[in-house]
Amino acid sequence: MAPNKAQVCLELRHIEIGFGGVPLLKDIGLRVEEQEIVSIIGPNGAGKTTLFNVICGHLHPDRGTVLFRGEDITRRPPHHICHRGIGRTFQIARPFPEMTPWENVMVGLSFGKRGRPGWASHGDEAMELLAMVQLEHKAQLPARELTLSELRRLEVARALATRPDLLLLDEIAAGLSPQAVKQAVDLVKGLRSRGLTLLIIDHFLNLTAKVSDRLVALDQGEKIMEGTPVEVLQCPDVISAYLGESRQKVVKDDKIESHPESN
Amino acid sequence: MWLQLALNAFTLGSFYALIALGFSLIFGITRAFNLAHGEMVLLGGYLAYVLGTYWQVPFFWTLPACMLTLLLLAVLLQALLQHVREPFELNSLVVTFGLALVLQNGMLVLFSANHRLIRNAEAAWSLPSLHLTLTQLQAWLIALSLLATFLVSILLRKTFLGKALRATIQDREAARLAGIPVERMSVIAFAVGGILIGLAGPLYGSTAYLHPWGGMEATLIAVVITIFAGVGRIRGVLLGGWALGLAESLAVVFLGTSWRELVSALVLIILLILRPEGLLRVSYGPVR
Amino acid sequence: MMKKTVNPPVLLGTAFLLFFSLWPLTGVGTDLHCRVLGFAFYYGALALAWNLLALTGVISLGHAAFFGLGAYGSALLDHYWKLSPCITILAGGGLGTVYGILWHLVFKKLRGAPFALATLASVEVPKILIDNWDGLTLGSRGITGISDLPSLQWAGLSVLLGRDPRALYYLFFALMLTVGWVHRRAFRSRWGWAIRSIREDETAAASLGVNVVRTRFQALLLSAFFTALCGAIYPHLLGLVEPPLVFSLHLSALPLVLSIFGGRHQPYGPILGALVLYPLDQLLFHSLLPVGHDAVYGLVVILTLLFFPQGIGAWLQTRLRSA
Repeated sequence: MAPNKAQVCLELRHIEIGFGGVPLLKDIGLRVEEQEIVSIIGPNGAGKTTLFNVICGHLHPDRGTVLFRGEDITRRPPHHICHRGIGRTFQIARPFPEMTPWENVMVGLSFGKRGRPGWASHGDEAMELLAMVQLEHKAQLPARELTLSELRRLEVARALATRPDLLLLDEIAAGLSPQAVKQAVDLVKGLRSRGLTLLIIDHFLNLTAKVSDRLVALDQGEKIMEGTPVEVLQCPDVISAYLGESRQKVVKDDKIESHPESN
Repeated sequence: MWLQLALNAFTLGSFYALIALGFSLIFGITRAFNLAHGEMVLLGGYLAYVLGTYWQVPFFWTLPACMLTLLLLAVLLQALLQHVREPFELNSLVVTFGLALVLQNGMLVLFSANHRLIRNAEAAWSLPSLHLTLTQLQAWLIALSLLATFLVSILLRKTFLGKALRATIQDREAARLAGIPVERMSVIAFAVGGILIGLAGPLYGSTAYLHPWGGMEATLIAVVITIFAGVGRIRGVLLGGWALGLAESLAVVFLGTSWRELVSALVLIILLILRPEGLLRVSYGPVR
Repeated sequence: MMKKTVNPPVLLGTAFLLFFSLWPLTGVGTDLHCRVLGFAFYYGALALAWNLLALTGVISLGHAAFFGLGAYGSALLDHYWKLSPCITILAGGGLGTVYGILWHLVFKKLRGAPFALATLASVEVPKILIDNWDGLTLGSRGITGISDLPSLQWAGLSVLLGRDPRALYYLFFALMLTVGWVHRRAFRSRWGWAIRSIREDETAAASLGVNVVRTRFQALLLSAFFTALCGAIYPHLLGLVEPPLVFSLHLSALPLVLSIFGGRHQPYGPILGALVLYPLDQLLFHSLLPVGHDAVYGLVVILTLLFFPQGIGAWLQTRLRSA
């Protein structure tokens, strides 16, 4: 039952969330089609990770809906969303520190979408996943001894173990050497060829231009631009958001016009 | 009768605030959870009892003696807690839990389970027209509690040291980056906390019976008020103390003395559920 | 789970089982030894029960609530209706479990220090209620005259559980093995993986499909039930019960100390802690310090957390491995 390529995989409608009086996301709308790679960019504090947390059920939005393949998954618990087919990595890697990478991946295999039956036999599959991210040589060390780049790759392998159809990657390329970034790019391309839909947060822009079909730019909780990488990266609002110039002038003059696809 | 109730509640509440003050300061600045707080108050009480009963030290002079002793003990405790690993809050809680057990049994050995009370002059002032009586002890309690709170407040607000302490309460890491010697702040926090505990001890021993198991209750009271007030907020500590004093006094009137202890326990549970962040950092960031 | 070399632990375990099952029958050792070891098993069961919850990553300071409720459930049923101890004990276990459900509903969002405090405060609720409800529970006077444990008829042998130290020894041994089996399942099973992942990182576990709420609830219920079960046996051992006896801080502290000392994250840690500390306390410290020997447990907690944070069990394991 492979979904048609043009179908909508993930849809966000009017997502709003605030905390202690501070709005974090304001009226966010988004559509990701099957097997697309969409990147979310924006300066610090734009709300990118908050958006991921809302999609995955770690945060409940004050208003709005999250639809995954037509099913309303708003405010469902994270494990339920995982079972539906959404996986994620975390911006600051969260491995199970006392477990080995192999054990980390085993948790994903045991409790992810195809978890229960014959779970003990997943051992080989775990090694395959680790091999895919070039971690098989460190499979039996405690995870807290891994380097940053290795931890990021472990996060990906572990999330893949849950057999997601949609994978949310949060800053997997930040702070990496150019070599490691290239590896990450290849990894992402490889993931798409396996039939996954990808939603990527990439604050530093190393990854996005090279792999994304579309870019969505956020700033201070609002969507300020959406389009092809070229369009978005050349948009003056986006550039000034990153440079941190005073937005008041820009907002008054340009903001309304520069929202071509906001819903 | 209601006026007397209000006066009693006010006295009790001020005293509760004094008990909570040391705890709040220590927890706010160092994030150390001292579950042996009540036992340390009791220790001060027992010390004052011994000084007063066996060496005929006038009550007034037992106060500085206890303040000094508890200051030293508190600083020792701080040195011990430095070796506690992450997660610091939880581990310091469990370590001081063990310390509470040690102190309880130590006091049991030294003083036996007999209830003891520090006897004071029974002078009192009355206003018969209003059915109001204020005992000398109550006057002491109110005066010393308010004075201590006032002095701590001045320390935090008007001195340079106080500024550094407040910065450490707000955000320990940021304070460290700003050049504040946070480890030294910890020692100062425990020192001041120890002084406050030493002040509360003899007063406690004059109002309530000293017995080795009374510490937990005092600790719970300190925790309740600290959470209610918000970590490190001094004025809130007074308010919280009065609120709790009032709640308990009312409970005694309507339900009887045997239900009194349940009040602080229930209030604590309610506060923890409503404001679990009352024990967490004083910041308003999104939950990850 | 990837199997490492199986033999040494299995050998050790079998030796342990054989030794402790058989030595009372040999006539070596006195009644006192029987009684002390028997109670070491009893408190070992209590420690294992406590640790079931600690495995999910929270420290409870209030398990005395379950113990006391178990004790009073059992005592009241015995006092009013003289029901058979099998029933009173199970019912007591049930009563404690109900309080566990309450914990789950009320403390669901609490972790770490707030959770520990809330559990500490939660002991006061049943304790003061029972203390004041004279009409039902006889309040602070306590209940006396509770029946002993029953006698068992087996192959012509009559065993008076309540009086025979050897019988009690085997009863508690069986109790500890039962809870120990459940405890071990919390390590070597799919459920055990869930528990461990929750303990190490709850958010990551949830994102990988672990049902955090349900798993924690299960651990809590089991922990409450077995603690209450131990509590329900207690009045039948002493013949009496009163609030400060069964809702005491000591009963909250003891399983904590034994588990932390023996190793919270080891399958047999709590057992090790109980078998080392309890006899040590009863045979050595009790005679040195008849009053206040409980201080030892406090000291053990402090020293363990500072110097052996993983517990003696883990420390021994690493020493044995490098040897």
